[in-house]
Amino acid sequence: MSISPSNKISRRKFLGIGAAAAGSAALAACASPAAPTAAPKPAEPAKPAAPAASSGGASGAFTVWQGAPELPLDIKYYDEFFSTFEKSYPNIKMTKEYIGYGDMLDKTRVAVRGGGGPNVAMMPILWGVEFAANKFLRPLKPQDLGYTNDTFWPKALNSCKWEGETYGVPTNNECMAMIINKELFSKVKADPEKGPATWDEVVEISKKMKMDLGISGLGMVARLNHGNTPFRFMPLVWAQGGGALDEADDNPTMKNIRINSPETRSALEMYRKMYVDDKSVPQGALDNTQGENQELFINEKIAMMISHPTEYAAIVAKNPAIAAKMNYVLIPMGAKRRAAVYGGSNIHIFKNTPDAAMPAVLEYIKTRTNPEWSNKLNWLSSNPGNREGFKHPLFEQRKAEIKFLNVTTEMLNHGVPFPVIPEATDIMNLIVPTMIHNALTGKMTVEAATDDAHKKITELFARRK
Amino acid sequence: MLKQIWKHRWDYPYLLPALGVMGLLIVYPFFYTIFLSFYDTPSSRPEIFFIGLDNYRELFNDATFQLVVKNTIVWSIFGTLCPFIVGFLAALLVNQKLRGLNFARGLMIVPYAMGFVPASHAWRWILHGDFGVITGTLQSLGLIKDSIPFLQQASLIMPSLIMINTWKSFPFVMIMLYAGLQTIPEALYKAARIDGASSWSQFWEITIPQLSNVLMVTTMLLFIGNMNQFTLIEIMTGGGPASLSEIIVTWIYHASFQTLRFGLASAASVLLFLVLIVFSIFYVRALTRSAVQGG
Repeated sequence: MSISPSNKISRRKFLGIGAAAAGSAALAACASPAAPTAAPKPAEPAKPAAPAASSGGASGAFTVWQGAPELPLDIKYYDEFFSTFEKSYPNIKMTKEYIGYGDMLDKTRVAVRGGGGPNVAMMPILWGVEFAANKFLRPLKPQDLGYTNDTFWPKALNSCKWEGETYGVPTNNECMAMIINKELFSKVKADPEKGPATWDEVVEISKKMKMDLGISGLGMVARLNHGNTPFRFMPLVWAQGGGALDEADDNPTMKNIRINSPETRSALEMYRKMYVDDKSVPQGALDNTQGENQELFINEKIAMMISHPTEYAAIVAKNPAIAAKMNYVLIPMGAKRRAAVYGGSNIHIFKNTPDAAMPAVLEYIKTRTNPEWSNKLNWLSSNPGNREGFKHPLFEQRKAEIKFLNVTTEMLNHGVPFPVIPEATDIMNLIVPTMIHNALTGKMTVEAATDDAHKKITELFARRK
Repeated sequence: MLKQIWKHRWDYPYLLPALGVMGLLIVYPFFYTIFLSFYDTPSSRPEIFFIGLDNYRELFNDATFQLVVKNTIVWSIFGTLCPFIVGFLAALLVNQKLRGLNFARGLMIVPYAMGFVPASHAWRWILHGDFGVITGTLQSLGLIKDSIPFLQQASLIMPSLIMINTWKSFPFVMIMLYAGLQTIPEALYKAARIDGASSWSQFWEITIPQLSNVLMVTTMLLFIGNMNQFTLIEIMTGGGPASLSEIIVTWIYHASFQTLRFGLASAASVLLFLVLIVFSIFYVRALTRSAVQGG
């Protein structure tokens, strides 16, 4: 084993030595390290993507991982896409695997470090750069697919970039909105059409809901290591003028840590007030995800929640009577701005993909990101990542069919992307939720919780070496 | 000795497959874990970096890890004590010659027979702050106004987990001690009664001494099992909120697979190994003594 003078050694090589560690029963309790499943190949230099195949003659085999579509219509379109693709490209053997959203990051991280994992993965916008920084991804730019940079939203394409190289293309982009129960709003004399105009009003209406109706107001969710948490907390932080870093600035440097700024603290204090003082949000919030929130909304135990465009369709399918009471409104203004997380997914190619499979992989990505399938595969849940999709007749059809799509599309103008740095998932999925937990359980004051988060981010950056 | 080895030299190759498996699955990961404990594995870089004893220093200085150690001690002690007391009482009860006890014995085994995963999921929802049947029932009876987040309120998390662990583990203690009770000769109690010994005296002078080895082994097994209790805590709370229910094994898992700090997790694993080896020595000694006395 060679260790360079700087005491560095390729992690992949190193973990390869530890391949046998997996499954160690005796030391399982005492932790196994990376638990690789097979000896990985040493890191290869970055390879440019092969040119896109231009016909149905492309061949090759590859695996795809992605989150599972949940709604019947989404499932139908996914089934249709895969069967159409298989028929159009009989020489391509594509094996797809649906992975649960809550598990996908940890599974992918461990799998690729062990030399396994997918060839292609569609992952939430936040995740890709970590894999790029770790040299697990092949470069992939719009031009490799016959597109231009303008084909995609700049913010979305930027989330695929690391150190000047592009490692993927966006598949879909969306922003969440505030969803309210009009009837419950009317009962507490709040505006059921406009909803809460400011975050202060959210706190106030939540308290009223609790005092007058005995239910919770805002559907707060704060589970650790779950993407739902930052998607619902960071809009408040940004609205108040804070941030984890300076990601909400016009020209972010991603170097200024603002997690303990007075603005971020004011956002956390609002959360603390609602959970601890007013008890006007679900008391299971620290463990809840949007799944639990949806059930609470359907049962009229909460009156407001921040969620996806798809929420309406999901609730119509489960309880049309409640869906009739739903209204989508813009996420409220804070002291500084209105903000939502600029969400969506990107598609990436992992380094383990053989060169021979590249034409097939590129054909697959090109097909699923074209204007038609960009609409179909995001029919209820999102919007096309390919901007040409907005000009496609299918988008007009979606606008006509999908209630409230205009609101979530308008929220795109207020979208703030998560920091495009390799540590973004650690910050958003672990440090931010831990900060919320520290403050809401009373383990720390708001000041101490934000200072603790600041310390953790600083340490994380210091470990970049 | 050398003569014996030479004599059986053709027998040793038969051990090779077993030794190979042990080497691959036990010996190698053991040394690899120790090795990795001296490295940093940043999530933002593909390389790992030698940092000497820094991981160990960080563990000793980290307030969260100190909380985790404290939680582990509380969890291991009370998670052992409570099932032990309940299980012992249950063993004494089912050892009586009363009608219906066969049914009771069967009933009491149910929690033990249930897997940790479904049991943990079931209890997680029973105790949930918004959907939990306990909170719901108390609210519908008008006994409480606000829901009780058993697994999220700082003062309730550990007691709730220990309660579930007691429910899950007491049948194990009961079975072990019941088996031990069955081996105590009835003649001892008869003689004690003739000598006028009270029930209390019989318990302290006959039952406890006769059960001492079983008690030791059961306690050790329970304690070691609790130190390593990953499933229940991971499913019910994930170690949270704010690490208030995190114990060392769940912390190691989270440090490894959530923050990718394999080096730090390995250092904690090494420390945990050192603690567990002490208890294992006690356990093996107790087992050996028990075997010798049992003839």
